[in-house]
Amino acid sequence: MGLNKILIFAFCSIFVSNLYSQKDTLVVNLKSFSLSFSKVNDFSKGYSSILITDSLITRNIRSLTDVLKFNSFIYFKENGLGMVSSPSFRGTNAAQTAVIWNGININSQLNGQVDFNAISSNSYDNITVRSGGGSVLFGSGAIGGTVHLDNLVNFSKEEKHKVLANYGSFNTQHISYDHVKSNDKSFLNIGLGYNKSDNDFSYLDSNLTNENGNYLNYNFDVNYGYKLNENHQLKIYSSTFFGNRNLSRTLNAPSNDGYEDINSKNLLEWNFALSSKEVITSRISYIFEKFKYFDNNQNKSNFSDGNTQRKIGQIDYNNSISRKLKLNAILGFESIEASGSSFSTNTRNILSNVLSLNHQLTQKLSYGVQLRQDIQNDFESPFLYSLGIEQQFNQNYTLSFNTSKNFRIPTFNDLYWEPGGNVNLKPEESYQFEIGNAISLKNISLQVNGFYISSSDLIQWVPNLSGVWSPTNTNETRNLGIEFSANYKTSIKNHFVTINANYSYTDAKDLETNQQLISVPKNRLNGLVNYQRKNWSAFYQFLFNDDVQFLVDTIPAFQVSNVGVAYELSTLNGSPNIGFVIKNMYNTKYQNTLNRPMPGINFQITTNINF
Amino acid sequence: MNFKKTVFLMTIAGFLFASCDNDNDNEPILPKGNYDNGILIANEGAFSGGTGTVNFISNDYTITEEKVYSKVNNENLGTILQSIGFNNDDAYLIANVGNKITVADRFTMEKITEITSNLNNPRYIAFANGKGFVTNWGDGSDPEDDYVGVIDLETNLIVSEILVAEGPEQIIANGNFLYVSHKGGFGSGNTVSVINAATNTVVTSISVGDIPDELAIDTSGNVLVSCEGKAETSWNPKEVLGSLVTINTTTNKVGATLNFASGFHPNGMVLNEGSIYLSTSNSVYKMAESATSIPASAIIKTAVYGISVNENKVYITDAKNFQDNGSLKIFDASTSNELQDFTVGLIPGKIYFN
Repeated sequence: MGLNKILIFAFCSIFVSNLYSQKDTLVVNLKSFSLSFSKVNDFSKGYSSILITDSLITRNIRSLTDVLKFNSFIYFKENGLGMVSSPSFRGTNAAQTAVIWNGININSQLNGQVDFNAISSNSYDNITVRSGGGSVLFGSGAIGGTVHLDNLVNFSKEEKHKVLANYGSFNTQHISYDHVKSNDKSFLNIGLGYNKSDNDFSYLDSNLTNENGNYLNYNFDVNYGYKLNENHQLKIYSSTFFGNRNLSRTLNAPSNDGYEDINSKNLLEWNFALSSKEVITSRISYIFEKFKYFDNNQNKSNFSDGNTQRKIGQIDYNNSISRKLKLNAILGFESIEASGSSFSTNTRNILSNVLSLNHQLTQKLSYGVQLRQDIQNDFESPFLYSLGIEQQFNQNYTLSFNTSKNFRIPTFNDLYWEPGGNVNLKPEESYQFEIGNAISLKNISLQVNGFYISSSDLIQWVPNLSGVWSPTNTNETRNLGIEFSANYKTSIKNHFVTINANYSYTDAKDLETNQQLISVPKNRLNGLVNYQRKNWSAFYQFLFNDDVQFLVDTIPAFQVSNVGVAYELSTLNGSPNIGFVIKNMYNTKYQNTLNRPMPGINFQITTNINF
Repeated sequence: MNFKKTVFLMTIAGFLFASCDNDNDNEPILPKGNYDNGILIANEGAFSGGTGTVNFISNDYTITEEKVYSKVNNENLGTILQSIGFNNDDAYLIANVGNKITVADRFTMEKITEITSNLNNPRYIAFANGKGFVTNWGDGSDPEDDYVGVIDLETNLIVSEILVAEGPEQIIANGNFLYVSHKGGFGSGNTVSVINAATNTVVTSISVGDIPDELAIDTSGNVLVSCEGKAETSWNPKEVLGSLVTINTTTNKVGATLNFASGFHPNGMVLNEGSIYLSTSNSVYKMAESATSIPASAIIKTAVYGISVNENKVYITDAKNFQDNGSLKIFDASTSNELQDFTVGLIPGKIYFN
């Protein structure tokens, strides 16, 4: 098989290079080495990103959609609470936001998207939202931006248990358990999660209820690290999610649809420090996703299904040539197999080559260059690049610029769906420019970014001459906009206050029709105020989402707010934290997608124990 | 005489005059509602969460109105307005994904009632023997759950279900018998079922061409079936020719099959005053009922999503890109000249005449 041959070749070449590099092995620092993390930090000059902290995740633990819709620029087309949820970032479509799990792009090979309600939010130590194209580093679909889900492996002595248990309206339950046990030699993290809801809320100003909206999901995660010696570390990351949902009704139609999915992501990583400056990371990953869709959830013997299996091998070479110059080269091979009711079994092989350079030219001026060329059996892949420059003018102000060419390859559905699939599709191409301003003062930091994205050959499904829906490379779009984020922190005596706000303005146009793109809110604003005093903490979060065009209809603008209070029983063992949250506190009637109402005011009790 | 009295008398006189006038033989027929004397266009609407809508265009083209049902009743018809059936003054508006049939006055569009029970993916309706018969796909890939629902027109309830083969699509009444084309759901069918409207039973099943869709009754009382066949594509390497099948309604046997030329796969058929109009996605062809081959050239070249013919005019809807409002074009059936072009709703599928 091609994959094996290439992997063997690649491993052999590492060992050869290892022999040559053994001699300058000096002091090695692998302590806090996280490859995927470093890509976002070190090799993203000129890009802005938002790190979602642990407390934000805990607060919106129900799903990744909940975490991000209140804390990032991303608009979610959530098909009803807990239902299939796809992102729109900078006005791009759902398949143009890539999700990167521990460095690996996990967008569906079938539809190119990620369902943000089929990713547990309790499974990751860090969630980072990076604005802007990143196809060079993160592959297909990284056009509007990327969401990074990372697990950290630390070799420091620690043993902890964390239990979260929430209960809320509509019989909504969350229970998760997280355990870490580590020392200077090994690291083990086990996570379990459970979410369930009847989700049968009443629609406001209507006599309908959210029928057929119940969901249940589990996740199971293991992350393990072992330090063989100062130069070698082995890491295993594994994350598995089981979802069982019914798909809720709309204002205009009842539903008895059901959906079950399993996705499992597994990664073996070996970090080998050749010297104090050079690290080679080899990775083997196996990812599979499988879904079953039931047209009638009372008759589960009748369904349509799809599944994909991905085998990935990567050699990732990092060289911190000097403190000022960093180099990263990746050789990757991926073999994907997909099968399902609507298409026969097909395979795709991708060989990818990435070269990145980061250079601190002067104390204040730095730049990064990245190049990528994929080789695929299906079609020709474009040559991709990214260039970012940062100029720090003084302690308080940094100006940045980046430009990149990004792409999205056609999915298995696009190519092979029966009927309609079009094997003659080309990859979507996208060019973008961005200017960023970062201002950081004592208590406040501000980031203002302006972007311009021009995309062509966008894949669109339209009826062909024989009336069958079929994808073609037709659309051309132009998105421009501004993202503004502000963070403010202050403390007076025992009172701690933080305020975060994210505002985005997006103007996205179809260049053929000169019309605004559907499913893009022009203005979007979210904010968070946190207050803490001794054992008490409280928060208020809000979201404003502008009008959204959907075909010939308009989903009206809305503003929704949550408020919560928590108390830490610090005298008790494990310092349990008990809280109460009021969601949609003003009982606002709103929809994220057309005619799928979201719940009115509802409540949640949260408990959190660490021991 | 004061002014008031004059007005009163004039009103009386006017009334009397009008009454007299009404006794005349050439009395003007009063419209039965705001939507009489015009065209109704059924727009499917958005699949995801949307609702079907109805546009009205008056026969003299002076009045155009969108979303007439929603305006009159302040409620929606439901997702995907598949078709409308008429029984005297009652319109049965079938929401396919919405699993709902709204019964409304066809001329005022005022709601009478709705049918929501015992529907499963309803498609088309016909009336016979004082009952309504509505085809139901069930799950488009489950061959066991397809039926024709029988509607008691007094109560507007579905009182029984006649199990039929996969994917029952269009339905037409011929006296006390109903003919149902089995397009085949998500797969492909090739039969027409015959149902006895008196006993609610399937009498026979007739093999026709692949993917039978539109049905019509010709001047000799035969049922005509247009079969799409299958175009040659990368996922279907072997073409199946489209065909026009004539069913003898006395014997319920296929009388004649006219195979279409390679590449001709009709999406619509209308029978009007002795002529058969066949449409593909971009052309309309016209042939005599008695013709034995389809004409080589189209009478109209335009994008066709839905087609209908009435009083020597051809009405054609265009769903455009399925994201913006579609259009209705009206052509002269003799000269093929385009007479009118109206913007209508999202995915306009069907045209009816009031």
